[in-house]
Amino acid sequence: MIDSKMFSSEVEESFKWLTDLDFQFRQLDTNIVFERIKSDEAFAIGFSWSEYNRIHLYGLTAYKRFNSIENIIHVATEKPVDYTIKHHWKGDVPDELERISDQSHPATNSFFLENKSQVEVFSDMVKNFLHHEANDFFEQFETIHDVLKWLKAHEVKQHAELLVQNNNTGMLRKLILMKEGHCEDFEDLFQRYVGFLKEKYATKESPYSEMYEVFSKLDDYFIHPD
Amino acid sequence: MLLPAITDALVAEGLEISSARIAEKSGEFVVGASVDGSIQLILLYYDNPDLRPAAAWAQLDKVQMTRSGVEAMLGKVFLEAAVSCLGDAIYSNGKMRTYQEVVSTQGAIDCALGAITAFGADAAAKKLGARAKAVMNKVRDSPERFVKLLTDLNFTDDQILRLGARFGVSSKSVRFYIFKLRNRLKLAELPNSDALLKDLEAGDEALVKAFQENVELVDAWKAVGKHADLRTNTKFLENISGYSDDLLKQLDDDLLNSKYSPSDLFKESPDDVTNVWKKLKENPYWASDFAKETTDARWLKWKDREFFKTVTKAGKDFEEYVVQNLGTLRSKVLNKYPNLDINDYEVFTQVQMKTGVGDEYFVADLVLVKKNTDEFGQIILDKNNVVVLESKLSSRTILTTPQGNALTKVKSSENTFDVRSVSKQSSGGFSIGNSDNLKVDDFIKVSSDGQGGVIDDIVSLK
Repeated sequence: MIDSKMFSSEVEESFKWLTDLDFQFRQLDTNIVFERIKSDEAFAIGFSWSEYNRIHLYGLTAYKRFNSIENIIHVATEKPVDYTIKHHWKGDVPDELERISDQSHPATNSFFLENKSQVEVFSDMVKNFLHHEANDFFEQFETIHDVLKWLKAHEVKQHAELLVQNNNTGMLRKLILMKEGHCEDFEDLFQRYVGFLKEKYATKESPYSEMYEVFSKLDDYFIHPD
Repeated sequence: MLLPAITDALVAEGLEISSARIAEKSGEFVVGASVDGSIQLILLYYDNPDLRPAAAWAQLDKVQMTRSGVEAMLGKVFLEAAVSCLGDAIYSNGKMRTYQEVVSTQGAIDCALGAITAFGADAAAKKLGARAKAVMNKVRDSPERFVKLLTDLNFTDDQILRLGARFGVSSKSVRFYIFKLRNRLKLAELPNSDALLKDLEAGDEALVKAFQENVELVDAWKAVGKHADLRTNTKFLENISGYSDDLLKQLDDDLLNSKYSPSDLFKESPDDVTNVWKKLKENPYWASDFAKETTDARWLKWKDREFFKTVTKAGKDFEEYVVQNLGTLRSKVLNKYPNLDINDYEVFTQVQMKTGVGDEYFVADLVLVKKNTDEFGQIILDKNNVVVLESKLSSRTILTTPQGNALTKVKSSENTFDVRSVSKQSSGGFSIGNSDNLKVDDFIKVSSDGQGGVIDDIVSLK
C-alpha cells in the first residue's frame, strides 16, 4: 500500500533524472511540478493525484510560462503566477499500471499506483513523455508568436486545449498574447469581449461579473498604445 | 520393521530380559555378535558420515563380530540385553546372511543398531572394551553425527530420543539435531536459518520440541522474524502456524507499528493472537461482541482502531469506485435528478472545504463546478454553481460532524465555502485553491449497499 507521503517521497527519489536536467521538484498539495526556470520563461512537467487505498494519478501535462504574459495576469487576478500554455500527455498507460477503464471518463488517461515499484514504472513513463512529447511541445512554442500562429491556425473552440484556463483567464491570456504579439485582430476581439462582459456585469451574472472586474484592473494596460 | 520390536522390547521391559528367553530364541552368540557389529558400524560411520548401509555392511569385520559372539556366549558380556529378532535377522542356521539377505529379512542393520540400546544403557557397560567406550565418547562429543546416522537409517524420532538418552545426550540436543537434519532442505531455503538455529540453541526444550514436531513453525518464525520476543515464544508461534501469508503479512505490519503494536499483549497472552487479533482481522464487526467480553482497555482501544481502519478502508474503496465509475454515477444522478448532468461540471476530488465552524473543515469526496463554454469558445467555471457529493458505504451511514455542519451551511443562505486545499487540480486541467470561494447549491449522498462495489442510492440532502 502506498499513501500520499510515501508517494511524493518516492517520486522525489525516482525522478532524480529530471532534477539532473535542471528541473526543480515542487509539491503543492497533491500536485507535483518539475520546473526549469529561465529568466523570462519556465518549462514544467506536472501531475496530480488523489489518495484512496492507493494513488489515483492523473493530469500528466507539460507546461510553458511566458513571464511577459503571466506577470500581467498575476497583477489582475492576484493569484499565483500560472503557466501560459499546456500539452496533455497522450501516450499509453503501461501494462504494469491499472488504468481507468471507462473510455468516456474525464480522467480516461489516468491510472493507479499501488507500490513503490510502480512509481519506477511511472518515472519511465514520464521520461518517455518528456523525450517524445514535451520537448517537441517546448520547441514548437518557443515564442509567443508561435503560440499566436497556432491559435490562428485552429478553431476558437480548440484554443482551450493549448491555453491555460485556470481562474477563467483563458480569454484574458489570449488577449494579452495578441496584444504583446501585435496581433491585428486584437482590438476587435478585445472590444467585443469587454462589451460582452460589460453586459453580463450589468446583470451580475456569475461568473462573468467577476471576470469583468479582473479585466477592469487592466484598463490601463489594454488601452495603452503599443 | 524389526527395530520397534527391539527398542520397544528393551525399553518397555527395562532391559530385564531373562537369559532363558534369549536362549530360547537365538542365544548370546547372536547378541554379542550383533552388538559388536553395531559398534563397528558406528565407528565406521563416524569416520565416514557418507557411508551407505550396504557399504558399511561390507566393511564390517565379521571375524570380530563372531569373536564377540563367542565371548558373549561364553562370558555373557552383553547378556544384560538382547532381542529375540537378532538371530533371525542376521544369522540363519548359524551362518551369517549376505547383505541382500539381511535387507530381505526386514533390514537387519536397523535391528543390529537396536542393540545399541542395550549397550548404551546396560549397567554392565563398564565391562565393555575400549572400542565400545570410544563409541560412547564419540556420541557424546558429536551428537549431531549420531542423530544423522540414525535418521539416515530411518529411525523414528522417538527411537532416536530413547537412544540419545542411553548415550547421555540431552533430549533438547537430540531434538535440535533431529529438527536440523530432517529439515535441512527447508532450512537451506530460509535466508536467515542461522538465526533460527541460534534461537533454538538458546531457547528451552519446549521451543525445540515444538519445532521438531511441527516444521510449519519455521514459517511462523520467519513471518515474525523481526520481533525477537515473539519469534521464540512457543505458544505464540504455535498460534500463528498455519495463518495465511496475507494474515502473516498483516501481523508483521501491526507488530511493526510504532504507535500501537500489540506485541506486549501477545507476550502476556500468546493465545490472544488467535482469539482476539485474528478474529478482529477476519471480522471487524465482531468488535461489538468482543467489547462485552473484555475489560482490557488496550484491547478495547485496539478493536476500535481496527474497526475504524477496516470500515475506513472499505469507505475509501467505495469512494474510489465512485470516482472510477463517473459514467454510472452520472446515469443514476440523471435518473433521479434530471436537471443535474455531471457532464456539465468540472469534477474535483478530495477538496478540503471550511465549514465555517472555527477552523473546522471537511474533505468533499467530489466537488462539481458548473462548466460553460461561452460564445467566444472559452470554457468558464462558475464557482457560484457547485454541488458536493459524499460517498458512504451504506445509506444508513451518517455524516461526520464536519460533514453535518457543512450540510447545515449548504441549507442556509450563507452557503459559500472557503476552500482550504492549497491547490486541487481537476483531470481537465482546471484548478481551485485556497484563494477560492465556492457557493454550494446541493449536497448529495452517494451510498452503496454496505459492502461497496455498487452505487445503491443517491439522495440530495438539501
